[in-house]
Amino acid sequence: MSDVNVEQEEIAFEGDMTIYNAESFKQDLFSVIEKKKNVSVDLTGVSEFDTAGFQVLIIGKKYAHENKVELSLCAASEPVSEVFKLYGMSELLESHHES
Amino acid sequence: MNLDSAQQGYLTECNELLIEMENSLLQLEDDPANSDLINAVFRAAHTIKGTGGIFGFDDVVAFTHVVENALDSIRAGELKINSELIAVFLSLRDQIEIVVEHAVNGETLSDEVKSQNDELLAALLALTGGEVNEAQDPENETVDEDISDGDDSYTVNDNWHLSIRFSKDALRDGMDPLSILRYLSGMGCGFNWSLQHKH
Repeated sequence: MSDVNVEQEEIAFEGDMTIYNAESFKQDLFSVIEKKKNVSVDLTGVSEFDTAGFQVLIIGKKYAHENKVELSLCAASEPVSEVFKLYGMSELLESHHES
Repeated sequence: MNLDSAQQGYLTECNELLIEMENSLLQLEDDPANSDLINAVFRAAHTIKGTGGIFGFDDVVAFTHVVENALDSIRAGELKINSELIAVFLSLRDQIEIVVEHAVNGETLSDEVKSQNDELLAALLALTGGEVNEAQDPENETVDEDISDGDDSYTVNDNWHLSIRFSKDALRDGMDPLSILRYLSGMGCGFNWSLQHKH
């Protein structure tokens, strides 16, 4: 029943995505998701990434699903891919599917 | 993580532990059967060795390991402390300080320091009748209450099976599991892991 013409919100994150700003990033992410469009997060600019940042992205995905939209995680920077790899969750990153 | 400040922190901690070691040893001269004092000396050596191992300070580990073994024998009642032993321990304490400083400053031990090490350890072993073993691989001594081996499976080869279970509050308490995962995967041996989700 999803509307194939749902527009996409593209957001890019610059800087550290860690415990220090996880809370505020989560709130920003949730506001975007509440616009009820698919969201694509460009992670090229993430310079530092820890478990807190990882948690925000995961609950972001869950929240998007609850709001009947999709959150995709794109262009993970090196710190981001490293963490996803350590947690065995690389398949959640969009670039994982590209050859 | 700023490795330099962590190493400086280690140096500070060692200096405090070495002061404690000296105080305990001096008190032991008048109170040789005091197990609290013996434990304090042992714990100081043990911590210096353990944390030194995490930083890869092999010289610290190798030297302190022999000292720790002797203290363990004393703790276990296999060996009695006397003023001769205390004197040797005091010199060993001074030498640990030198070895730690070299390690934190990234300096290899000179031949002079190495032969001082050997002399002191020989003096210790003459009194304790022990042997110098190869410094063992640092045991998985960063054991917190959170890390336990609750898995009943066994492997029949030389591989280690580590089962790490983080407490519910680990993240809330400031522990990021990534630091353990990164440390283990950087150890240079083949390391495979899988996350098991339990609810």
